[in-house]
Amino acid sequence: MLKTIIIKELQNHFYSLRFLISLFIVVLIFGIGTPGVVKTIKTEQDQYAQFQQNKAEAFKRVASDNLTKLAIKGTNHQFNPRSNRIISDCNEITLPNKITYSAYNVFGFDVSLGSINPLLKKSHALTWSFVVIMILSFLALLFAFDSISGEKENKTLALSLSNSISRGSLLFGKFISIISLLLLIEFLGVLVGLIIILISGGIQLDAHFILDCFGFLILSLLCISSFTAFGMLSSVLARNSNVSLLISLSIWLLFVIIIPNSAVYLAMKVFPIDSAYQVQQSIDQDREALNNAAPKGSWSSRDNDPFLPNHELRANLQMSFLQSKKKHRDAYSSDMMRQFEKTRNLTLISPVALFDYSTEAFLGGGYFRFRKNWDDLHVYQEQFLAYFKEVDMADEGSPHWYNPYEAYSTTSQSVDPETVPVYSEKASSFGESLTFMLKYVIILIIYTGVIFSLCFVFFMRYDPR
Amino acid sequence: MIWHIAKKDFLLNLISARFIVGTVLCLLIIPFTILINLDDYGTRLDEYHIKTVEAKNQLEQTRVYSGLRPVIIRPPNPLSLFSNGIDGNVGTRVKVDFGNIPALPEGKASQRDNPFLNSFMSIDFIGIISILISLLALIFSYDVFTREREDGTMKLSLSKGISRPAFMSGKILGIILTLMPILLLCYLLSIIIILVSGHTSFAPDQWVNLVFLFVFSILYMLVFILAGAFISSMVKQSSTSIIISLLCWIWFVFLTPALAKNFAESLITIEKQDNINYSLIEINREFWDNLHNEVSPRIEKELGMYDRDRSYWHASGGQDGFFETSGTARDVMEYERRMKAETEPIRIDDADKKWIIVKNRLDDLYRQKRLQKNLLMLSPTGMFEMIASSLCQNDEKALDEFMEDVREYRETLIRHFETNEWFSDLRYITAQPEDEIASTNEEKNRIAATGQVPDSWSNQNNPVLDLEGVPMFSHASTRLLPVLLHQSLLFIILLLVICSVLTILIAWSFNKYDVR
Repeated sequence: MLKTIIIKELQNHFYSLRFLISLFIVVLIFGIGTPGVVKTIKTEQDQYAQFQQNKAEAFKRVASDNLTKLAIKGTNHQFNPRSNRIISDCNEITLPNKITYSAYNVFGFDVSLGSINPLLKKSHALTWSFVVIMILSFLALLFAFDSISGEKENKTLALSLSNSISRGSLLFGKFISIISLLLLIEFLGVLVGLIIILISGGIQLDAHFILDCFGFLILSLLCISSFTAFGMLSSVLARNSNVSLLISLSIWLLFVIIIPNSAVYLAMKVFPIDSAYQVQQSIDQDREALNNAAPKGSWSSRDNDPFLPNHELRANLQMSFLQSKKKHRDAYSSDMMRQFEKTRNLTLISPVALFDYSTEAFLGGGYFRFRKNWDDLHVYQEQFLAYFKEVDMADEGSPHWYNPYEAYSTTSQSVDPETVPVYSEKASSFGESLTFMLKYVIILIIYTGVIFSLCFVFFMRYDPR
Repeated sequence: MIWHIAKKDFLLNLISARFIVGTVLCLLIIPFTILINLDDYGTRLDEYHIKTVEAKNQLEQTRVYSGLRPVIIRPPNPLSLFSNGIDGNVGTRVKVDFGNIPALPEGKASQRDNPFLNSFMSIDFIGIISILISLLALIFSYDVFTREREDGTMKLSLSKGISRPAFMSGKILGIILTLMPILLLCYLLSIIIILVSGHTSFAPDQWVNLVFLFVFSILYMLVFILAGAFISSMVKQSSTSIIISLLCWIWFVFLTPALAKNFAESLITIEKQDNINYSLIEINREFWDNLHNEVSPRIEKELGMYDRDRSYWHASGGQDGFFETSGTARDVMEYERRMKAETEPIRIDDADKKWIIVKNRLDDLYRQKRLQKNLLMLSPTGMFEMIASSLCQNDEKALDEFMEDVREYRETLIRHFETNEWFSDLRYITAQPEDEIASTNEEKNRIAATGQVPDSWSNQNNPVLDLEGVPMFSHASTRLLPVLLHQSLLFIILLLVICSVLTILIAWSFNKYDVR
């Protein structure tokens, strides 16, 4: 019976105007959006390669000049543009994507604008996940809002129910047919996108990428189902389709526009943290106290004379500066991350956010990627420092007074750049992604289940007259 | 007669579910948005005050000419409460540096302390208005003709000798009458919230801009009302009309702007800032190489001193040319003074060299922006937002104007340094009174050995500069309303054209509308 209902529903939709227009819009967006994004990714990858080359040259130059200068040099690690960014950019443009470190410390993170134009208003990039978030969520509501109330108005609902169909299977049949219809639309869109990628050759279509597409389709299926459930809920809540439309539109505005846009405000009110200014002030205060307590002559220096006794004072002072700054900055960094994570949790009420975060982890981008790099870089920094100290210890001409900012009192030997440990980003394992995204996926499934059950409860008491 | 129909529709609309839902939505969302923006504005204002005081203190505590590098903070604009424009994308701080000509303000790319939070979008008043009002306009107009046909009332009305144009105008006027109070309410509510909060007040010319903003909001609303009515006049059923209307809505409000950005970004490539920085560093390295390998040995030779002779008691410096020393021997100071006198003009020349590279990228940014703007002509929402950010003076033109002023100020300051010969002044590197400077290194070491070091041997104990006569930065927007309107004239005309074309289309298609 369920099969009959699904087939009937699908047939109805296939010939409907909304299906045709929706299909047209989605395929059009995939068709004209993809080449642009592919080209942008390609350009950014080239620019990134150029950047890495510049960085490597600078690294070599300093390494073959003086190891100490290399150790104290602030280097920044930036994330290379993922080729699966066409699926979702995972907010990588706006999230911190640059981590600065030296041998002594991982200083902090920043948002690198790269080739982003600050004169353009900030908005989502036209990736495939944007299509799901903006269009398919809307279409799901548009297809579902009159699924019950519309049939009631056309008097076909009473007719259907007078046959020996259970209300549950009618509801479920409608639910399944809408989802499969939207998935079909999305699949065709993705297909168009893939063909364009294949023709343009900007991105390599390997097994990994296909797997990403597949996972993306499954995740978007979850997102679409939740919106369909909401659409049907608004349909069974109202007596006529006009009202269910209003409810649906309000739900969409709430989930897609209001919640994501008000998260920051709520975050700052509900989970306040110190301002950067306050943190800077306490760093400055500590610095001044340390400076005042430092023995006289701590700031004296002489080039070409590493063993000048004042250099030891200077190194100690600089080291204590670093230590105190690190203490404040590290605490602040983890505060910021905690605030961000809590804010994200606030937005979990919106299926769009759940979809966004799980896609992010699945594709190995965004915050998930940042966290992994942040932790890995701390491990690397220890290694780099250990290496530096080892080389320094072997140098007779160095007094071994470690100064994290200046090249006065440690080795001035050059090293072979090849022997210096270099940081490179490790790809995340599937297990890591899974643990990160599992929470979001489970919530999304439960969410959809709950809404659909609500829908069922209301439909049981729905008056088809 | 038109008036009768309009009044009837207005009254009918007032009791409809959509009016109630629409008003409630506006009443909930608009104040919330304004509160968010007020909070944001408050933070920016506080930050502006803190930074300005900091910059002022820093300037007033400058002791040597080489430290005289004023920091300019761009004040937040009260009208950004309505339209944020691009203010959130750029920093607010510009340092007047002799080694660089500034292209854009630097500092945090946004007002938020926590850069992670930047990944969440935030919407401004105009953004929310453009979404809500367009949606409401369509929701009221999609069934303007179809509903009457479905209810059978259209037959009745048209058989009573009402002309079709009159009927049509009356219906549309009715919708305008219904939506006007909502729109007005949105504006009034936000203005009241802003004024009551006491964070800011508007200058008279800003009030005028606000009035114009309101007028353009009506125009924007009208576009969507007419679009909905046109769709309604083309189809037979309301259910078809609403689907088409909503799909048009999502297309014009969300997709076209996204496509415009996508096209602009892929057609005009912007070089990665970090790669530009490497080219700039190259110029810097040439500067330092020249300084170390040519200028310094030559001056040493002329002064008859060697590298190892130079020791400093208290010295601090920076990459931007700042150097201050105290307690250092006279001949070493002379060396430093001559170094600066020779290298600072080179630094200024280098800034011009760097500017060619930087300007190139800046031009690309503006070219990309122009392309995006041209593409936005495909969407009423895009046009409306452009007009709004121009009226609220936080578009790219306002930024450019500000930066032009900063660059001009930098030139003035450099000229001031040159005419007063500050680059070759001893005060460029030390604030220590001349009679307290040790004449030779030996004498310096002898005094240091006694442990009785004079106060003036520490930088911080020396007198600060007298800033009298030093040019100060000031910026006032010269763009008055006519200029602002002129800038977005194309968009305004286009919106008007769209309205008239839609009206004609409705008249044409309604004229042959089958009322059965």
